Amino acid sequence: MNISNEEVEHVATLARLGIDETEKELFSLQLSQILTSFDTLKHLEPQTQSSLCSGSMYEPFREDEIVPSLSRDQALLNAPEAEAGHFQVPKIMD
Amino acid sequence: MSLNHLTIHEASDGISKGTFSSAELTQAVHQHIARVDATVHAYQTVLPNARPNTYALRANAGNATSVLQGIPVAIKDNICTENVVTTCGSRMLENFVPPYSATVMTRLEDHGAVLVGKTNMDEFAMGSSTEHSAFEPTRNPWDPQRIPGGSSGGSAAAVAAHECIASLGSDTGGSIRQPAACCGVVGLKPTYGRVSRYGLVAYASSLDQIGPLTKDVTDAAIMFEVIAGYDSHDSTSVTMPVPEISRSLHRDMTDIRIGIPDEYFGDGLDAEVEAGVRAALEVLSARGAKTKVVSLPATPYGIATYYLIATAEASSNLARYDGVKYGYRSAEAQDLMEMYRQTRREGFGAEAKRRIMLGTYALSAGYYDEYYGKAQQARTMIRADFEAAFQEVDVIITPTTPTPAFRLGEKLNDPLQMYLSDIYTISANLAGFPAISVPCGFSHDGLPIGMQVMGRWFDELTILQVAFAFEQETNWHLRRAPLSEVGDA
Repeated sequence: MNISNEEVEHVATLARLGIDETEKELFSLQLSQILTSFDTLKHLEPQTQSSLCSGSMYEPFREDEIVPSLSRDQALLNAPEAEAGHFQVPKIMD
Repeated sequence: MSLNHLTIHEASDGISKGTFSSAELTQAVHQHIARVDATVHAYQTVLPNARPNTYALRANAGNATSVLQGIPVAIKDNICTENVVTTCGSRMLENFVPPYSATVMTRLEDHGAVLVGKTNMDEFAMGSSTEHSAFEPTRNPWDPQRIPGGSSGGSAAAVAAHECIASLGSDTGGSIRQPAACCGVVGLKPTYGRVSRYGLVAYASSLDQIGPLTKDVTDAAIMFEVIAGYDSHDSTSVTMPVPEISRSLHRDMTDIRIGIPDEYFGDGLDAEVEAGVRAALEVLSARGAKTKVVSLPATPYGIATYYLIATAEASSNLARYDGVKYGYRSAEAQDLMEMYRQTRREGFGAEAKRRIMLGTYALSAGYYDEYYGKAQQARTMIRADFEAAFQEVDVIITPTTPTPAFRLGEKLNDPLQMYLSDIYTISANLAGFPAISVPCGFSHDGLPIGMQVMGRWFDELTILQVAFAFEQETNWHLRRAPLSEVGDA
């Protein structure tokens, strides 16, 4: 398995992760090595049954009632930038 | 013997008899932190002891009958503590002050435990050495040139260096048990669903579980009883009653059947680790336990399965760090997309980025079936192996780690080698059952060796009973790390 620099760039875009040229080279090499070592999984016979959960699973339900939660001020306490009770972000349209 | 060397049950006994106070005990812990933590760096944050903090005040109003009343504990820095900075070992959350406490923290407080501080960890719990902390690596109290294990390396080192009485960690692929083994302490990963993760910073949600790191098995049972149980804030927690394990640890071993999987004693296992675990099995056999070889044929798929599922979930969980609602924001960017990319570039360290990249790749169009789909299939096979084995035996015993603690820097630039540190611990997370690591010997150069006892789903009782029976026959858990003795009069 060989992951090209272009693929690394594509994945970084999907992940919204800024990377520089050095990181691109490094991730290309490391992801290729890691995924090659994971080739053991390719030998698994196709199987109809697959599981998406672990442990003993069940679905607990609760009444749909409003309960106390964080106040607006508390929710904004860690915001990098906030204004007038809102999270502030850079301009998204001109 | 200083007060900070005591276990929970010994300290509780002393407090309730009036031999010493919680304040004196906490003072002893703080004094020892001042002596050794510049070397160990177990703590990311130490709460001031000189002035009463909200936790100490609440502790005084806590449950006077609880065995945890007045006991100083340390908490891994990915567990939210109201008004106490919770960094998760990352620049991304360097200044994050949670407006609420995790359920486990609230439960400890309700029982009167005193929060001493927050322990260092690999960034976002991604690592096996605590070298991936964005701040400073933690060092092993048995040998400061060695890693303490990870990702709960700070929690394990704090217990081993006696810089707290007990601690909490989190375990996604072995992050409680592996550092417990490296530091010569007890580490319990409960069954998936036993302990609420509300307030735990999410890494891989189908695997994460919170558990205790302690000086002995009795303390692990005490901590487990307090933190376990249903929580309406975490829909993966179960309503099943929590047994009173700490009063039921004595058990006749003659009706215990121990499974020994060949797959866990093969290539890559250090000879001294194997000898230590084999000798431990002899101890349990001498107590009357029956041993039997069991087969876990899907074991070779473990590492690939774990690192695909964990990174896929991480890539999704860590999408929330976008510089908008909390955490770091890059000052560089002019538009929103650039802000996301720069914030994440500057805020995440190398291993977090690597895992986000790997997970995003595994979930991306064209590769999903090949990687993530296959990993889910292998996960089902691994679980089925254990279901079959637990029909024949009550517990399965293996080494916790393939080698004793390695040197700082030894595996830092080789992620694949680092990933192999988890080879014996990941199955318990992938399949969800409980597992405990207990000290079972030392290498020739004085490094601790850990034995892992795995059990059936929700049967923490049996693994703790077996671990306790072993502990009664041996005194490995009583040995003290050199850095726990510094300044001891």
